[in-house]
Amino acid sequence: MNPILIVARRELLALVRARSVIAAGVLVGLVVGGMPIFTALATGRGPGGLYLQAPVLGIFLGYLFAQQAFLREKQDGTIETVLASPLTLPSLWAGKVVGCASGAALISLLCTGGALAAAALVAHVPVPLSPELAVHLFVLVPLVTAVAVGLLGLVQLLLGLRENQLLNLGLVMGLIALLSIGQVIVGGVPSPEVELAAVLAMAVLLALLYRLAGRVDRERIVRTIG
Amino acid sequence: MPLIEARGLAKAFGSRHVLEEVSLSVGAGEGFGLLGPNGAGKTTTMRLFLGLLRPSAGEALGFSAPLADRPDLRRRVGVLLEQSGMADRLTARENLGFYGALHGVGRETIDDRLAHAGLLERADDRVGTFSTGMKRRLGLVRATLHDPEVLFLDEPSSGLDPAAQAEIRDLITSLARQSGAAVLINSHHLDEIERIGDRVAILDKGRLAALGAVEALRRGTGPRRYGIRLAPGADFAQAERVLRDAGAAEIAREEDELVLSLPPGLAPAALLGALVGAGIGVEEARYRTRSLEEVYLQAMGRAAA
Repeated sequence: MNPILIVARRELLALVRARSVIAAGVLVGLVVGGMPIFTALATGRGPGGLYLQAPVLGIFLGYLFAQQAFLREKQDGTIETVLASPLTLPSLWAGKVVGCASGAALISLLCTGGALAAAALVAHVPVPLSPELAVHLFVLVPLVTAVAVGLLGLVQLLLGLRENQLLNLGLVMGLIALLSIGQVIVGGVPSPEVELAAVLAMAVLLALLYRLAGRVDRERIVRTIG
Repeated sequence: MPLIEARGLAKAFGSRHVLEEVSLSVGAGEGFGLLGPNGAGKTTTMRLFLGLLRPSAGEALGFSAPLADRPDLRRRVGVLLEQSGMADRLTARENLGFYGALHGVGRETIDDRLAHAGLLERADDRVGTFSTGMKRRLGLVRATLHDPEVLFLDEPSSGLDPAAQAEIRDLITSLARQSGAAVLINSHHLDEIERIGDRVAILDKGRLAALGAVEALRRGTGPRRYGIRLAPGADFAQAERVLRDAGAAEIAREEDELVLSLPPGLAPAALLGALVGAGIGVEEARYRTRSLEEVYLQAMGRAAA
């Protein structure tokens, strides 16, 4: 099996076992993600908020999960053993990103889907799954989530515990602010061209982060353990 | 050809030098112990070999190359560091499944090894519920799962009670030595090193204070020590006079035994003959070797001087 998938499987398994983290994630998903979408649709403000809420939720859940995958392993020193294994740093990083981002994106999509279904059933405001919306939910949201997890993961590998505690939440807020600004510029529902540009930008960012993961100094990781 | 080798290895963190001019090598199937007090540079040496740290000077090689750059060569080593390297949330079998997948080792082997370590019944329990000793045993199973050619063990029995320490030592012997792996072990426990190591390096403040085969270090380089146990009722003072007259030096009484140094050219038979000639009975006589503890303390003393 591909080493990236081996790592991703392990991270997903560990996330599933972290019930408190999953519960917190679902709660955040329902309250912070699902409710605003439902409210926006039910009050007739349109589906524009949907395009912001789903990726924001993915980023926030990605933040929660990255703490488990990268930071926790560094805090307890397990990362040293993993670094001494045949895994390369890019494979390790990518496996963790795939594991965390797929979990976070899945919960984000389930919460968004739940809000859409509730809006359709309770408030009788159906939102048809257009090709643009499908690309947004099933391609862009996982990509944005993966970029957030990947960026946080790199930072967590490079910095010590205290610096991470200070910087991580700031990074997440910065990413969410960027998305919000983008949403304001685009104005509600983005055009297919904007969606495509965003997907491409995220793919390029992800590839760039993968390359950066290959340049991370193993000594830097080891010396910032604990 | 050595499997792992350090040549003039040095490491400094800023202005703090933690390792200086260390050269050593470990061959196939050899047990090699790194001894030294806390902060002597043992763990740093191991991390340098594993490519977790970069040398400030010199080289740390595994299979003639730095392991940091060679994932393919890292396949050939097993590692048990201070932490067991296991995710607490996963079960023992899931943890081993992860490392097994990286090395192409299947479930059957994993279960065999778990059974060997007495952990099969707990295979589906989360590692977070294991005791420190069980985690260490599991870590050892993980480290040896793929039958590595070199096994790095960093303080494998530290923090364990005496019974768990004995279990770990037995497991190291059975898992690692039977497979023919070379073992580089860091430890505070001299008996552990003595049991596993064929050769030993003693580190003090980042410098090599002694290096050699355990037996050679115990024999030492000075005059050979000889112990003579006298028959019950023998006069020790008279025996000491007789031995001194016969040429023995540094005579000391240790319980029911006289311990002395044999100057070059003096055969033990001459001493025994002198004793018997003086009517003093001898029950047992043998060459004495120093304990590893004596070797260690002497090396530490020399390094301090």
